[in-house]
Amino acid sequence: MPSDPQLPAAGVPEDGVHDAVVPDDVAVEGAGALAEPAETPAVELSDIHVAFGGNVVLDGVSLSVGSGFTGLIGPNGAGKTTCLNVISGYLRPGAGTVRLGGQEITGRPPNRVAALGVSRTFQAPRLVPNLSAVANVLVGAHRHFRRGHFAELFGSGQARRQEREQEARARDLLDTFGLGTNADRPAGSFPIGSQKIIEVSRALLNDPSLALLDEPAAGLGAEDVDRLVTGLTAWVGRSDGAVVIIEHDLGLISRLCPQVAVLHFGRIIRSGRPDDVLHDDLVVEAYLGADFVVDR
Amino acid sequence: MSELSTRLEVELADERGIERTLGTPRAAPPRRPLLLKAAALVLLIVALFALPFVVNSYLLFVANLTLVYAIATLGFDILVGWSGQIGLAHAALFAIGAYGSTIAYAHGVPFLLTLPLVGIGAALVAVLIGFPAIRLTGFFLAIATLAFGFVIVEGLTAADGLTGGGAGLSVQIWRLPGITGSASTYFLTAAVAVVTFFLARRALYGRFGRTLQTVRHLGPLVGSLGVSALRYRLVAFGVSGAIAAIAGALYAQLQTFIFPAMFDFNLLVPFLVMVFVGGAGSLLGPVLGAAFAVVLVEIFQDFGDYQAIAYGLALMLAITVLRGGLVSLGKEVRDSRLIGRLTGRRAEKGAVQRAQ
Repeated sequence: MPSDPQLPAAGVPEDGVHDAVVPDDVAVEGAGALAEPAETPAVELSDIHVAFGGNVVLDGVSLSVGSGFTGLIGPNGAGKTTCLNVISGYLRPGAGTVRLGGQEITGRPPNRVAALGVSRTFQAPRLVPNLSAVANVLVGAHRHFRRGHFAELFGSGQARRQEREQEARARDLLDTFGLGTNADRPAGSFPIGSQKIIEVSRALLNDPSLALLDEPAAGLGAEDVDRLVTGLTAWVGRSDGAVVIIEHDLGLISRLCPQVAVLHFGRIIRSGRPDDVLHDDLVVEAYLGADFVVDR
Repeated sequence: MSELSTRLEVELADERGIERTLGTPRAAPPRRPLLLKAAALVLLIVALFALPFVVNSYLLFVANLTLVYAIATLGFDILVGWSGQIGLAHAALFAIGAYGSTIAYAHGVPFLLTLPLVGIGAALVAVLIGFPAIRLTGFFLAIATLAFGFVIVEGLTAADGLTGGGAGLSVQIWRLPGITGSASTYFLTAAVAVVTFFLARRALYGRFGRTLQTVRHLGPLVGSLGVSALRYRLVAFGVSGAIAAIAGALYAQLQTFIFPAMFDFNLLVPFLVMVFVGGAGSLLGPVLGAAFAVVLVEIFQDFGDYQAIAYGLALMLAITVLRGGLVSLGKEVRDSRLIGRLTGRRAEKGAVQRAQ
């Protein structure tokens, strides 16, 4: 089984060989495939190491992501969420650097990273249930509010105008995700699939240069998946931002993402176009039957 | 490995602990026609300010006390109900306002100026008290802040040169020219109450309130939205402390004599009762809670220790039966879930309805 914990441990003594044979040539190939050499990548991880105690979770991950969709896939426990935690500042890597549009952000706290234009969603949707959908989404615009809370408190015209502008943006965004008509209902009254979409909208209202979505389609019905895809595609078309998606639904990944990177035991084992990557022997072996899912 | 990499989320889900059992703020009230709103507001203000001319001095005192408690409870509710943090130093911050204003006024500072001064001072102290919130939440934060509160009250006893120590301090009464001290205090209290509730309404049903609630529900995950959870949690402490101190200054004027023992557990428990019986996370809740507590005290005045039992029972009932407090009474009765909670028959159905 790919999740056998013995595998990476067995790989450790022959680390040098392992490195030389597989990841190095992949890393070169991957970097070339994922980012146009001319433009600065939206985010660039170089040689990230993360370990919890003796448990190595990320073992020299290098990845650069340009604008548009990038799928981050891999079996359970491969370190996908950890990757997002490192980028968004929730985890400080043991070694390696994170660059956002060329600027190094390694080790900055999450709110600073988000203020630079990095949004993320979490596996389980976390909304304020009693607030309306649009109010929940509005919190995502935090960094775009120029007027402070005192201006709001004393009812300054600029603060009101700013609130109206952001609210219009939030409603627009909910519209693109097909939830515009119910925007004033409490978020808690939506089915879980719609809550995940509201959470994605909240992340996108930040107008991020990089959005990190952790399994946005897990638990969604086909209709909700369509809404999600429509909304995301529209947003990417409009803003030219980069979106990194962790997803187990490989059909969705190959439908959405021109680029895919495969994590396995804390290493990027393959990256490139989904058609090539998903039929790669190494990837198929990692997934044990992923090939079947795609072909169906 | 997968458990470890998603450890962050699992931990956060568990951490919400006792805050989760508290009432959550309800949605903003529906927008009513402007004329109706203005009329209701004018009527309320006229009624408030006409009261001293129609009631006797005892009822005026009761009304004044209710308003003072309502202001203080609003401050407590911002911390507990809106930001979801159990800070238990509220009675001590109330005491800082009472003592600070009384002492400053006695030393020649104009009384109206002492209100903002104690507000700012108490806000700073409250932020200091809130610092454990960097690491602590729930039960542990409650204990840490409770300890701070006791230190402050003990400090008031110890600094007897300034505060008169355990024997207490007589309050110099502020009065408007031409009317009695108690009427002056009442008018001032009513004005402060109107302004405080007006500003609180604007902030809490606006961006500040929704950000505060998001901080409460997401915890550190709110950082992913560019919001500093820590900053908002400390601001909640500061705002709550400032409001407590201003109410405390008015309370001193009302009581005319203050001593440290007024501000220990015997005040903290009523504050908790007022927040939860009234309804945490609403604006009407603090008013209803304050009225409830004052009326309870007046009714049970002759029963001594039974007062404490009545408070305990009220708090238990509020937490077990009427989770949303008195403000939600109408809704609860309408949904007839009250009966269901008591018998347990409809509990499951209610839970499912909420989950959907």
